[in-house]
Amino acid sequence: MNPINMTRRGFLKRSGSAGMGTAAVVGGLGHLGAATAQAQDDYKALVCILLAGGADSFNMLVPLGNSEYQEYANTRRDLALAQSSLLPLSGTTRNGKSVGLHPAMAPLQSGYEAGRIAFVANTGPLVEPTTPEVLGNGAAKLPLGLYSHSDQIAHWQTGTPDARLPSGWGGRMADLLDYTNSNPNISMSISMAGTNLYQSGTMTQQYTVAPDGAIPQVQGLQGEDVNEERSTAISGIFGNAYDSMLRRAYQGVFNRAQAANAQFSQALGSVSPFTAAFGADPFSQAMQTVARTIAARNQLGMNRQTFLVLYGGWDHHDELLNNQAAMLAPLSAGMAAFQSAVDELGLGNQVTTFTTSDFARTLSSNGRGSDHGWGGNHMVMGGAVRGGQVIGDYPDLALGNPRDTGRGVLLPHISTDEYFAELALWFGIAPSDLDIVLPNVSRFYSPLSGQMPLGFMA
Amino acid sequence: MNNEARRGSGFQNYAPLSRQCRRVVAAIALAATAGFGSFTNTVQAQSQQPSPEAVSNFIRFIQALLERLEALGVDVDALIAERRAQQEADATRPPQSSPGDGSSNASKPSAAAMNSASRFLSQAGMGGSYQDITQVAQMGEAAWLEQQFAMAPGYTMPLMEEWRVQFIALYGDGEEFESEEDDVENDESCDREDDEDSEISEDDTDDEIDTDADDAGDEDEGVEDSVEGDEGEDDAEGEDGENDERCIEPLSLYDFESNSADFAWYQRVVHSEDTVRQRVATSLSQLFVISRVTEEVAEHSELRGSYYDMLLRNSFGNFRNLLLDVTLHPGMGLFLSHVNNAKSNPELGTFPDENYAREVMQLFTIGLYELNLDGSRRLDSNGVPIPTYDNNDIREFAKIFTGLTFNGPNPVFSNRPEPEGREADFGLPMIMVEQYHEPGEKRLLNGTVVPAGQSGMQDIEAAVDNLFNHPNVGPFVGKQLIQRLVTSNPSPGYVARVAAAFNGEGGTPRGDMKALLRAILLDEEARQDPSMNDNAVGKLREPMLRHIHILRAFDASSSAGTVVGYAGIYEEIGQFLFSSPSVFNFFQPSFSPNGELRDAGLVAPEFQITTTDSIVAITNMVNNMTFGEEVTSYDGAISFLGRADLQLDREIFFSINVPALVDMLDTVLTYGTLRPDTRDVIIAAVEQAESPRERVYRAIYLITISPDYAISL
Repeated sequence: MNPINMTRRGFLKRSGSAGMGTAAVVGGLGHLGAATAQAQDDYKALVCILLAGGADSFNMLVPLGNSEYQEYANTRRDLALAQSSLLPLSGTTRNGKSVGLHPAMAPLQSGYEAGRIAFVANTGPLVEPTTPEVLGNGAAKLPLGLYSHSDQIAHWQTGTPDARLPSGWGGRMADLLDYTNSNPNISMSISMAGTNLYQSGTMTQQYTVAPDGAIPQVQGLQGEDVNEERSTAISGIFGNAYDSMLRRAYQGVFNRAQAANAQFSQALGSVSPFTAAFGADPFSQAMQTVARTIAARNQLGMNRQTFLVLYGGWDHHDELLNNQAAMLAPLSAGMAAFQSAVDELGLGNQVTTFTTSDFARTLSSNGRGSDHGWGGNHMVMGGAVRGGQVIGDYPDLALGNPRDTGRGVLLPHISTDEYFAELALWFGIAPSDLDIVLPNVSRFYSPLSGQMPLGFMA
Repeated sequence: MNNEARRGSGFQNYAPLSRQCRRVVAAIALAATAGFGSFTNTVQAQSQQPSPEAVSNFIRFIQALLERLEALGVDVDALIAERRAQQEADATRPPQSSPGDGSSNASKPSAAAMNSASRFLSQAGMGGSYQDITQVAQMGEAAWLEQQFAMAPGYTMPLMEEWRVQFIALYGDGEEFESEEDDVENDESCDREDDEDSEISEDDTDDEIDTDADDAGDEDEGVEDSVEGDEGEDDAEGEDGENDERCIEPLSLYDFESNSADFAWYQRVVHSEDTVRQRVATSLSQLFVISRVTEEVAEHSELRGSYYDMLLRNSFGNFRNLLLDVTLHPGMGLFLSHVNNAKSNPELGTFPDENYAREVMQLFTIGLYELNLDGSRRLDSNGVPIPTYDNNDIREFAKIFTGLTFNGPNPVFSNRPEPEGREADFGLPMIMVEQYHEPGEKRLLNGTVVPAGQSGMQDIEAAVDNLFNHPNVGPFVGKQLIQRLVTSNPSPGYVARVAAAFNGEGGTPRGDMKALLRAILLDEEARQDPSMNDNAVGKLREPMLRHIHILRAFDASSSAGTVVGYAGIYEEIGQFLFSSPSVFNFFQPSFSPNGELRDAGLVAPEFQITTTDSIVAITNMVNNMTFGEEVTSYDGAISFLGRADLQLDREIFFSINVPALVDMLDTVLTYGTLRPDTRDVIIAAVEQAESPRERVYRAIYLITISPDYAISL
């Protein structure tokens, strides 16, 4: 792959991550990028949609064949969608099942049929390859805090379900790739979701943008309102050599904001409107802001970017059917509009979007909704995706089947390590660097095998 | 500063001035003896080489000050006479052996005592004004805390009801408002406000300052306005041609009712005397989280109001009762879905909801791992942390929390939102419907078995006792309350002392909240002088507490006398009561920002919501509070466009001596922890602003945006 990454790895190893203060490092490695300038058309973006709360994804990708549907309906009882309402997907899964989508996901059905969306079935955090037999006899090493929101949502972000790491796999990718960007102030990790673990690197921090794209500016420091006395005073205060580490940390956030916000705002302001129509809902607006940021990549000096978009509220312990339908419609429309906008930019093959979520939910009902589960179904979208297929085996949904750990909480077939590794390799992480991004990956996949782990990326 | 004779001589140069000017000089003398730092030098410098322009500006400035004082009803001549008499008496008294702090008033607390009291008010309460701080300093912190413990709670539900009645009287009880009606009703309330405005004689000054604010880039104009404002008196919002505080379209009754809990909370936290109880309840709302991400919690103010009042009621009670009340509150029942949670049904294949069972253990009481008294994790023989519970325990606890439904006339156990006939009373604890409660024995933690055949409420009490008596609760809850009130990184010894107090080591019952709070707030680690270079000291102020602190520090009021809330403050600063994105609060106690803090193993939870965008919003929030853009604000039933009026008489009085002003603000806002270089920068900037109010606003703005203030040491 990219020989520069080998150099980069060597640099990281030499420098040692722990001793490097963030202030010194944010953007401070830009000269490396300058020395090994990348072609601008190498641009790639990876967009993570976090369905926070644990999306009930066995009601998103649903078995459609009569016997499998019956099994689904028997297990889900009052949570089952009507067979006739499901939107069929062409073909069958690897294990011979036909599947359909939730009726609110029509735009994604089209994307699937057009070959731009793939599903990855029954995926979740695993510490090591885990068979139902090993799990059954209690010998399996399991993710920390299984079924708890905070832990599972963290595992999806860190990629290390056996350790509570302070950094995420997106942030570690940025540690490796940020040098390809020429901007000293704005991170390649752009968050529409506030501070998050996924994009926290050992040396890089995320740049936060409001979902609607608004970039706040400190009043009185620029434009017609500029006030020199205030400006001088603020520069003085925020230039102090504070003794307290906490005060320095606050000072650091402020100074990064100052340097970056004006520039970011200006860059986004120069973007022409898209033909693609985005809904007014917050999720669609956030996706539009991502598309606009991608459109401004040259002004921002970006060659690689990750984005995190948060769409919360999927913890449907009750009112599952109504609420899920109401939330899937904007999810589907927003994703479809985003892909259209990216295609307009001519970057269809250079931007890949994927979903994550705390967990799927219990297949059995609590009478009103479902509780916290484990393995779930996910989506990958983009021109570089080998779409129109379901990756992996679609699981049996009968209660008591070997993968049912109780109440229809399914042991995942596919580890998040494999799912993330495929995306990271596409994004430009060298196989030899993959263990920096995903420390456990070699338990599931040989990075130097020359093959992609799951095969959904071209 | 104690050279009274020398200070007096500085003004003799002004002898030939007119009567008015003599009063000016006397007023300066009065101010000079009120404890000003380098005032004498400043004035003497002015008097030795006064450019005609400087003298003229100076005198006009003092005239404005005098007018201001007189507008406030201060009898300046009497004050001057009193001051003269005192000076004469001082002159005949032998010199004090201890020079003191320049204060001739024996009862005035020392600067150190004032700083300590100010810090205590911000740790134990929501901060306070100079007068509040003086009171704490005079009383002593421990005694003041006991007085706070004895105060009656400032509940929110009675206020909400009072305002609801007021609202209906003003606007009727129709759910829908026709726009014509709106206009008519609105005008009435606007008249009311105008009347009140006219009673307050300080409008002129405010208006002038607003003009300054609008032209923040051109402050020279602002100065002229404030001096010559009486002439071409232009309204602050002259371009709009409207009143200073304009009524805006009133809320619908529905919107009023879904927001009144927020208004009531704001009114209480800004104005209520029981600031410690309000602070503790607000902190508990971040431990026992409910949030308006759940629709019913957002829609029904009485869920939030009664939940907050429940926290207030238990803030100085016992943790065991607090946990039981939290468990039975319909707001929690809705948020963590254990209301109308039915026993398992093998035929339907359904099982009890596990949501509350998990979070009550993980977040509200014991956490994920067994803890030592000092908050560190206990390790097994392999050096591995010991989980406190597993998924089987969660399923057992889930059985306990079955059978609860809303109280109120005609209760119906049903998961339908509005079953026919039910009138859920969200102010009452949930009740047990036995036929939906899981029968059979339940296995709790530490080998406790709840026998079959108990009533559902007996089961719940047993589970609450089981959790309450777990040894983790003291260190788990104690450490988090330390983090909310005092410091992000308490030493293990501090946590252990607090946990021991929770456990009843001092002779109080286990779970006694007053003992817990005394241990947290009066501990030597909380009370020792804050060090500016100890990295483990202090915490980042929560954004919403910054807003409240500034309002309290300057006795904010509005035309209706109180400030009860702002529209959109959540969007601005990312934090508001009962608005966290999930049960994990706005930030987690273990959050550590990337960089040297994390490398040093230190946590700083509030940094989780301090991003490059929120930090700018927080900075601008202070700008709006001082120089001020209009925001929609609420006084009870009335919404108006305006902003809180900070009461700045004392500060404006001090503004003729900028170092003294900054030092006083340092005491009130930063307890004397403003760095010398920050202080120098602020003094230089403030001295450039010549209008008194402009100076004060600028000083407040620069201090409260600084890292010195943001991090409370």
